Amino acid sequence: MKILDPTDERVPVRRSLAARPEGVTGTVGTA
Amino acid sequence: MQSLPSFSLRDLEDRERSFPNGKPTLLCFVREECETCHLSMPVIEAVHRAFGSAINVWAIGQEDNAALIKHHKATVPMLDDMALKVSFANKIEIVPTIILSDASGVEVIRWEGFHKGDWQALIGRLSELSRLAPPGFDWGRYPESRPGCGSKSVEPGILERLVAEAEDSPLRARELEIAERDDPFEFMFDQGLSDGLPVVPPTAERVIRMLNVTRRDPQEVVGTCAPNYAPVTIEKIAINAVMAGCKPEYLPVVIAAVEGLCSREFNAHALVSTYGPSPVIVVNGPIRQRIGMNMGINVLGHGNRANATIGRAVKLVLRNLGGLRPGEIERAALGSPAKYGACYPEFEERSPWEPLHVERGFNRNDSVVTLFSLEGSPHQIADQTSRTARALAGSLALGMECGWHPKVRRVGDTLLVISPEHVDTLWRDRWSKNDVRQHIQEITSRPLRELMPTDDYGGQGTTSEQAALAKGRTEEELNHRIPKFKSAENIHIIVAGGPAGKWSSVIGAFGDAAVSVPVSRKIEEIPQ
Repeated sequence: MKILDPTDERVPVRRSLAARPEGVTGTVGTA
Repeated sequence: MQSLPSFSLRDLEDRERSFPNGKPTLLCFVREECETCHLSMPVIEAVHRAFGSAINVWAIGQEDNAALIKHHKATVPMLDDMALKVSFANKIEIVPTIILSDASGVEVIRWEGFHKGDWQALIGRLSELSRLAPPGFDWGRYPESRPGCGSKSVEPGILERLVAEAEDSPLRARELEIAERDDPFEFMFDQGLSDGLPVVPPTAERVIRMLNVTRRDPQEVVGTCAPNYAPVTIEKIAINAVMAGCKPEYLPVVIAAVEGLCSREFNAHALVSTYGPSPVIVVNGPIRQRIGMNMGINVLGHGNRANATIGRAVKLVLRNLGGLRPGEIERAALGSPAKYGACYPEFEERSPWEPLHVERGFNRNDSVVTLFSLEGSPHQIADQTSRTARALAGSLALGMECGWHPKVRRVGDTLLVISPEHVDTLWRDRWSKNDVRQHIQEITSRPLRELMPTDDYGGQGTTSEQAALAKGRTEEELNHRIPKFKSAENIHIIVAGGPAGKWSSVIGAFGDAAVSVPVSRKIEEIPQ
């Protein structure tokens, strides 16, 4: 997806990809 | 006749076809799901077989082109315009659209839909032009005419994208690409573009749709926005309005409010203050009804899209263009919920008085925004017992003393929102707004000695004038009475709220009116 920059464009874009968890934690249900 | 835009498209055999190419050309814009296009395809094929050696006869398909050709066992070159750029450039609104151009690319004939007479006349003309025999054709199988279908290039969402990507696109803003696996909402949080709530991704399509409601040039600079003094274009306002969740029809209100925000007298730079002021917007005039603003129950609260998002859009402009971000240049010690946005319409129809914008010199039928720089959140004043205008106005005055600090005097512009039940009590005695204002000044006038700090409480006052008055004064001077407000004109009154409830609200002043002056701007009229 592309979006239009709402700022005055004097500030560089920080980065293009959000941080995401390294792995899945926790369990669902019981073993 | 006009020259048609040049283009190059590939046919189903991947052969490039360029227009114009020195031969007369019949351009037949079609889409597979259109019944009238199916009706026209045998005629197009026959014309191609009869005259294809002398002129270009091209079908230009918008979708499922191979299926359309296969269905009719056609040999006419089918050019792939599934990107719809050529359809858009040729302003195709209906399919089929049939266009004949001369050898230089100038349009000679154009029609939409199926018209037997037009086809017969065209075939006669092509036969004359090419000196080739016309195709034998069983015209009896065909209706006289049949309307076409909508071109895919004008479908909602698609048209806006084509406008955005066209050579003469109204958009100039930088595009930010969000990775396919990234969440656009999280991306915008990460970029610091949000006020803390999710924002609507401002895609080109949404921004184009927003801009469609205004006649103003998207690149027009309406002003510079403090505190960073960035230039603010109509396009940038539209982007932030999309993010705030505005409908396109709200945009003229947002633009007018931003114009006020950028004015010298409003002085948006002061919004960086530790006191935490916010722009509070009052909307007057016919546009309130037209865009469905809530003037009644819970008017100062949540639940109405226009009320909620117009104020938010203005705050996002302040944040994203002005650079007003808390913890950075914005230093509000506490802030208030109004920092998310504060925009309220006046319930003019429920008021016996002139509405705010008429008091400020506009015509009643003008739509107008008025911006105040205020402490932000409304403070409610309860009075369920006053039965006269005098008693009620005096009661409201006591409630209004809390602005800035109960003892501080000569404060500046303050907004008093009077509920319908309260205004009924005031109007029963035929009190005008000015009567209310004068009584508030009278009731809140206190001798200077009462405003002095004691061992039990401080708060001498923060206006320099008052501080100076307190030093070494005579008895007479200490008995001098000082009204709460700098002048009666600093008390701005509107009527709004639900039908039941003897409560009114005051939104307190930001200081002594020296830093910011309320501004009004007329809202652009949009044809219905």
